[in-house]
Amino acid sequence: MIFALLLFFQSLSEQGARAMKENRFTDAERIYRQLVKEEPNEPRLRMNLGLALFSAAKYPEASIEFEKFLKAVPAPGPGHFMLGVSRLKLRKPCEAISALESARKWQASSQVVLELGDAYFGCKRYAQAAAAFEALGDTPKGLQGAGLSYARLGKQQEASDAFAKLEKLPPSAELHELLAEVRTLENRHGDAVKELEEAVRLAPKDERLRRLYARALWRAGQYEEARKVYASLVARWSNDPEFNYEYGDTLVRIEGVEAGLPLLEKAVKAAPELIAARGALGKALLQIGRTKESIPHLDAAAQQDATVLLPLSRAYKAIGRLQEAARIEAEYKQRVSESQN
Amino acid sequence: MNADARRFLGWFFCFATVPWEMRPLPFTLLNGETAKKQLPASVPGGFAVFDYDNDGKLDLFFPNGAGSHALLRNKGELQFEDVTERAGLHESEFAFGATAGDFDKDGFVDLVVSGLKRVLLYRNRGDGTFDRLDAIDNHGRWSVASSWVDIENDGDLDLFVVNYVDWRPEKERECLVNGKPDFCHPRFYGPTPNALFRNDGGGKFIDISDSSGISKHRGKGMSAATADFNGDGLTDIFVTNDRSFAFYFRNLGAGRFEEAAFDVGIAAPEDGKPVSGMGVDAQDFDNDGRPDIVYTALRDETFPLYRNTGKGFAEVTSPSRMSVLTRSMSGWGMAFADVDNDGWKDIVAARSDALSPTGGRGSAAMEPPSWFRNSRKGSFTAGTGWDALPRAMYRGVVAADFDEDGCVDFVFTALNTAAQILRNPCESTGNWLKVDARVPGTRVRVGQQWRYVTTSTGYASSYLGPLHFGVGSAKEIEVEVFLPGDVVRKMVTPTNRTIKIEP
Repeated sequence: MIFALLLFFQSLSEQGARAMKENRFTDAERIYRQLVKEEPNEPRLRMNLGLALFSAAKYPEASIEFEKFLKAVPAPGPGHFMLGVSRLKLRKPCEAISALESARKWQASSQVVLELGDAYFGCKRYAQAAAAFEALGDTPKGLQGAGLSYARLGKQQEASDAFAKLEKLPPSAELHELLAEVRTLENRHGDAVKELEEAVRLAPKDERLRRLYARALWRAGQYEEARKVYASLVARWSNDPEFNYEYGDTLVRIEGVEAGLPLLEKAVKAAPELIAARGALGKALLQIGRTKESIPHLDAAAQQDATVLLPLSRAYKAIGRLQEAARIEAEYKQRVSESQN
Repeated sequence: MNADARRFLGWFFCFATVPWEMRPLPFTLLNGETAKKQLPASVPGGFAVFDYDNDGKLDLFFPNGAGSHALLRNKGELQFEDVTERAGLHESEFAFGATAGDFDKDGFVDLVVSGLKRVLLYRNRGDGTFDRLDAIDNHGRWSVASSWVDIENDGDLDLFVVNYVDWRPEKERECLVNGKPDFCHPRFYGPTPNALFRNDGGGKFIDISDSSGISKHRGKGMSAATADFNGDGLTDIFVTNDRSFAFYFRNLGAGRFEEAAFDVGIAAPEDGKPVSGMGVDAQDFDNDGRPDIVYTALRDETFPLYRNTGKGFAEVTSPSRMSVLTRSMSGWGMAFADVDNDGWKDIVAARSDALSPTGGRGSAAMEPPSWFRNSRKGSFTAGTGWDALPRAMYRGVVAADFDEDGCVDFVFTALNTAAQILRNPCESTGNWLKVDARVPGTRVRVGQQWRYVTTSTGYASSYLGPLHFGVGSAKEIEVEVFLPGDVVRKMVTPTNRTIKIEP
């Protein structure tokens, strides 16, 4: 009986490993869940389940499994690294720091330091971010991260030096992608497009880069070009809410509300927390006279973006709720004036 | 050369393309920029186009930043002579804009110059010289532009003054862009109120900024466009502000105004993001009889275009494709002008960044001029033929038919370089008509097109000359002129000529 059970576990474990190797992450998740159920006190199984979930981009659930693993195996190790990276994926850089600092004690590899640098930067701890990126030497990511960190610290000379070194590195898709990130953060969206054009030229089969290229075109207001790239990526990204938001917004701008509205609605349905998409959807609905429907979306977006208060005010005015319109317009004037002056 | 002659010659020179030709003028706009990058050095560049000696040719007056103003007399065939000394205008006053208008109704066009410390009024004596009157007290404010406008329809030109920010040299800060010293963002300077002066005759101007309601609103004004936007018979005033809400001063009559930009939907673009409003023009681009508005802004902001609906304004920047065409551009001067005489007003822009070419963006701050062709269905396409024009720090642009061939030419100013005249090769076979009715507030209909006589156009600039209409294939056309005071003149006239309308 015990022997049979051992064989069963061994077989399942091998199936899980094979599923991971073959990028069948959903299968891997199912297998490891079964194994964890059978052996709840085996931390390595939780680690494997966490890896399967992470690979399937299920970052919230992956984080939970890594946390459970680390309760059982608290010594600095790969679990800390995976937990840190999961939290970064969840856009919680400040929460990622302690895990990644532990991971660095385990292994100060360039990958760990790079992720830690990103965590510091995202958490606005720019001095530590600069130090982490500096430790990566004259690598593309190291120079880019150091330059951005110094720029945030107001150390313009150091930032310029790092960016100058970065620009002199041998051309590669990675280099141009990183330069595009810098241009985007500087609000130089047209220049970001040029960098990503180069990146795509150097790695024409890389769909992720083409996705970034489409986004850069969209940000730069080059909507005709963006539309073409988005259209070529629909097959892979059609269930990605951010993709649908950007593509929908593009179509609204160049073809009219009717063309982009379905995509905006799909984006918001899948990810109501995507506030920018709700703002775009609200504005689109307002434009075609679906005023009442527009209000909840504009209202949600206005919490983060004061500029949305203007169309929200116009929506209230359009349905005759003049007091709210006046109140929101006054709030818009105040909040936007404060941000402009 | 008229359109028929051009068509005839076209058979002989078929397919030979005459390029647009840029020629330097004997004036250099100096901004006095130093390593300190003081803000006034970023702002010069407006100028005035008018006929100062009534010889029927359009002359040029350039205010200057760190140099003397210049008056260039048009000798014909695109030749200009510098008559600044002779005219008594050789003065150095850090200045930004000029506006032409016959404020004393003596038949000779006068000038007002907007400066860093004061507003200068130059009266045209009628003998080729000007004298300066100390008639305008702008309280030491920094004025960029102005507009002559008859606010009460009493026949006198009153003066609206566009004031920019509260700038003091001792408080100027150091700003870095990409690690290099550059001009600071306007948010570092406080707003100021605009001003309005009522013309009481005899060279006397009364400051009615407070009683009119104008001074209640503080902004960072760059330029103004005037027209009877709401069709009530009174001239209203639209003001672009730098990175803050635009103003729309609705004329209530009896010398009173209310700021109503939010009411009419033009305070900020529809997405709610105020832009760096720069130069502005107000003319009817969709031939529906109502004055529309377009203005320039900086990179990533687009050049907003508003269609006058009769009940307010609808922003059409995206559906007109102006958003796509201008997203990567920074602009200053701006004009509605029918470049190709097809009967639809196109848009012309003088472009450059507000930042310095020696600052954070380097030479990318310099841009070429652009024009956008009106494709008649409410949208625009990129104009052709200007690809070879050089990049520079262009500021002002005014459209006028300087060589009197029936096609609009353009004069541009650019920082620290000679002003340029861009001659229209006039390859279009479209006919044209010019209507010379120089009374501000006059509305002119030619066929289905409308134009409005104003004294301010584009960035801190002014045009007071015949109104140009491209009329396509029309050989004769109906003209209706609505002068202030409900005087209407109606006629049918052959095209390819200038008709003069006496008040």
